[in-house]
Amino acid sequence: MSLNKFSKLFIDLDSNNSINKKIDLLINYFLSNSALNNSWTIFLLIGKSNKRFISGKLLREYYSKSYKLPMWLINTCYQKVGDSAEVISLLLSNKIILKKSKDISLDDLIKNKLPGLQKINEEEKIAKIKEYWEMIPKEDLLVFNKILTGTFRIGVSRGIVKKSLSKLANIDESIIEHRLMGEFVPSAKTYNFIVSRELDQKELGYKPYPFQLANTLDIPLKNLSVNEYQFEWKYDGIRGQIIKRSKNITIWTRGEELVNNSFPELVNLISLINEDFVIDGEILIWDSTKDCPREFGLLQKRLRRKSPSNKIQKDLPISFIIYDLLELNGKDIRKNILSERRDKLEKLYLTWKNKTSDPYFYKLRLTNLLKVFNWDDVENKKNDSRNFNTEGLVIKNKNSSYLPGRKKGNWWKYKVDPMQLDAVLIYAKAGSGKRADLYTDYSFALWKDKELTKFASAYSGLNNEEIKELDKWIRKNTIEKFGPVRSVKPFLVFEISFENIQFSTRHKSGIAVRFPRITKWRRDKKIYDADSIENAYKLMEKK
Amino acid sequence: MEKHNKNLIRKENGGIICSHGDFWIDPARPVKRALITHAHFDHISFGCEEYICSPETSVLLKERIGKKIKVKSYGYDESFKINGIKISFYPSGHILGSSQIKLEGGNEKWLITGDFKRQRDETCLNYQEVKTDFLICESTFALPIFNWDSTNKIVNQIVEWVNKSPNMTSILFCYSLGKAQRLLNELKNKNIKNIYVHSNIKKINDIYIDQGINLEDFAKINPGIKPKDYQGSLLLMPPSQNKFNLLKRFGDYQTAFASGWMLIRALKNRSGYDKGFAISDHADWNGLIKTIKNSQAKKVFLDHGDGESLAKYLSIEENIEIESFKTKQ
Repeated sequence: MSLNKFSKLFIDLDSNNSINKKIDLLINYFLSNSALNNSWTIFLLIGKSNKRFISGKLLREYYSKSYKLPMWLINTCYQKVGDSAEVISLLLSNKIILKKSKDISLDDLIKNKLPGLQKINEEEKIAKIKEYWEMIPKEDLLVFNKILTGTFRIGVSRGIVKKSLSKLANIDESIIEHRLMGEFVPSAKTYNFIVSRELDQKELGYKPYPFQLANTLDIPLKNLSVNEYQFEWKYDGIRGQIIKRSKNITIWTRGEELVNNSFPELVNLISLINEDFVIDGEILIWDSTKDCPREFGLLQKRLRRKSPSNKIQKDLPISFIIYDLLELNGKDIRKNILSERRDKLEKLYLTWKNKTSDPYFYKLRLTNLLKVFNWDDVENKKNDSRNFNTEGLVIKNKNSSYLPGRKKGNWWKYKVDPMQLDAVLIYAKAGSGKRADLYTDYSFALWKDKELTKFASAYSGLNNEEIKELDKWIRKNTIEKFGPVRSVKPFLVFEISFENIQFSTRHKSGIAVRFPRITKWRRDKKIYDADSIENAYKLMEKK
Repeated sequence: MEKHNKNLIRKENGGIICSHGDFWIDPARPVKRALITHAHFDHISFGCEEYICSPETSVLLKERIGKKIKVKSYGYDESFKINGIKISFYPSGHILGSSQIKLEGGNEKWLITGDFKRQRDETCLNYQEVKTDFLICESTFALPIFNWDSTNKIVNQIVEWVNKSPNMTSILFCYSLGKAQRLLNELKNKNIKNIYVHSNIKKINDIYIDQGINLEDFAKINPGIKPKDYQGSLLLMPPSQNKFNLLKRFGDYQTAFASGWMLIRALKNRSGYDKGFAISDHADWNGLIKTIKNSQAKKVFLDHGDGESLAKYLSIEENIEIESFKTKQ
């Protein structure tokens, strides 16, 4: 049960790109370590520890103070490396002459020692951290710093951990996934529960089912029979499950966060219902006059509040759109086919509606099934989706069970074509993490009164070859450097796609776009062919 | 820079020119007369009328550029003059034959370090400290995050990496000239099953062996060998060979890259190697500072790589008059 063992595992995992080898390494590790040790390992690897004992920036400042290295120089290193924890461990590699190296217990470190840092003043904290740095063996410092800064992502995905545990315990992956969901308190008991071959309903009681997800539609529609499918709007909110089992209500997001506190009105509403159930759906901010959802940004605003005031609840009213019924009165009905589940759901909803006198019951609504009779109707509905503030359609096979993950062929998302503008590259910024020291964050401009005005930033969409090529170009065509940002010669034109566009007072251009991304390097275009702000306004009007 | 070097030296077109002596040092394009610090491709230009370098470098140049080039070579103990400028070579410890070049003319004394390292390397002469008035110093790894571990430690890690996977082919990528031979020298008697090398590396190995350098036994990779026979062995290959199509013939394999850059995880992961071994033929942060201080130069110029931070650090913290050549980046 030690930092050193975990650090060795970290180095081994980091030295193998093959997924199968990573899984083998993990299985061997789990087999040769204690249950408590293993539960901490899982806790760290799947990123349950979002807890940050110290920010990366503070860590750099503490190093600067402890070892008298100027902050600007540490920050230059940070730009090159992309991770504060790693920069500091590299800087420490020749600073420290170990007097007495000592291994630390992970359990003690995360449960007692590091939380203890919150209770002492800044000066004591700096001294304490320096003490750790000079006590922990050099090869373990990266892991230690990563735990400190809560940046434990090492290219071991949740999926790999899940697969290893499933292979090790010889139980289905979906059960492991189920057991890993929700709150995770590292202990021997937790680990033994995860790999236990006995299924215990009671312990699973508060946990959501793994979500079924839709694949991007990639087969020609005409090959499908319309009648076999159910068509719904694709909403852009927060996917969630509401679970009510013997009077206990939990609202989970797909990111496995428990959000009861953020949506008290929803909890109230559910508590009025008699039946036990699990429903799958989407949380949205709802515009009741237009009877359609409002933009995603408002929902984020609400989520940031841990307990929203009455005013916020009134100004940003939420709605839960029910997609599916997964469990009814303790019975898991995910194996039933969709049309049967929908049937049950509609009946259930009707019962609730007839019984309740709550004026806010409308906050709970069933997703509409769109009436389409042929594929032309489907196409038209999709193209109409912006009018309802949705992203397109979800197409579900009526004969399918509810399955975890993205199982091909059952659910498709059919999104409306993105809006696009051709824009000019004007700024570039080095990325972080994997993309450290590579210019991968770009800002783009449109023409406004014969000047280029910044309108969006994007970093995804180019392939590795293009990123490298662009990085080279940026270095050669830099006009000015401002810290990590470079302004570049306006010369290159890119097609930028985005999901939505709206007026904004916060942006100089007066517009804000959602999910901007590069969809094409327009090598065929000169900067004078790029779009103007007026074209952006036109897109807004068309919406 | 203009203030000091009007007379003797100027940086131009990616090379260093001494107009007074009518010669270049490591020019980036063909010139009449080129002094060459060492035989890496980013320091030599094809098509020069005359090359001047150390005897070992001249052998390597002929291998790399062609047998027919005109090369004059001078040992480390024999100074010579071109158009009145006195020129001396000093070992730089980078690779076989690598030299620092000292120029003396008028009232000026200049030293161009070329690429250098201060670490142990039995495949070339040890780096030698030289005093000068003006110093042009390389700055490839000019950030305090770059601290090399001892060669021994890294070499043992390589051995462990190979021997821990007896059922796999371990492919270690490294530069054909210098790094490959340094590794082979360090791997002497280290108990690795077999070592195979790519033909480009083999060519250079033969030159090293001719020059009396002690290398661990190796065989050339050849199509006659079955994937199974490579299991548990170490293969040395140039980085250009890191392509799935070229590697699949080795069966189940793992890859690594031997370079100072591998100290940074993001760089390792981005280049797609399983593992990185941070072993370098350049000076690290402290090595650069030591060389600069001990040279006692009145004015220092940093060349090759991004030296801005080191320049700023030394001018603020140590009050050294220093600047970084504008990099190509």
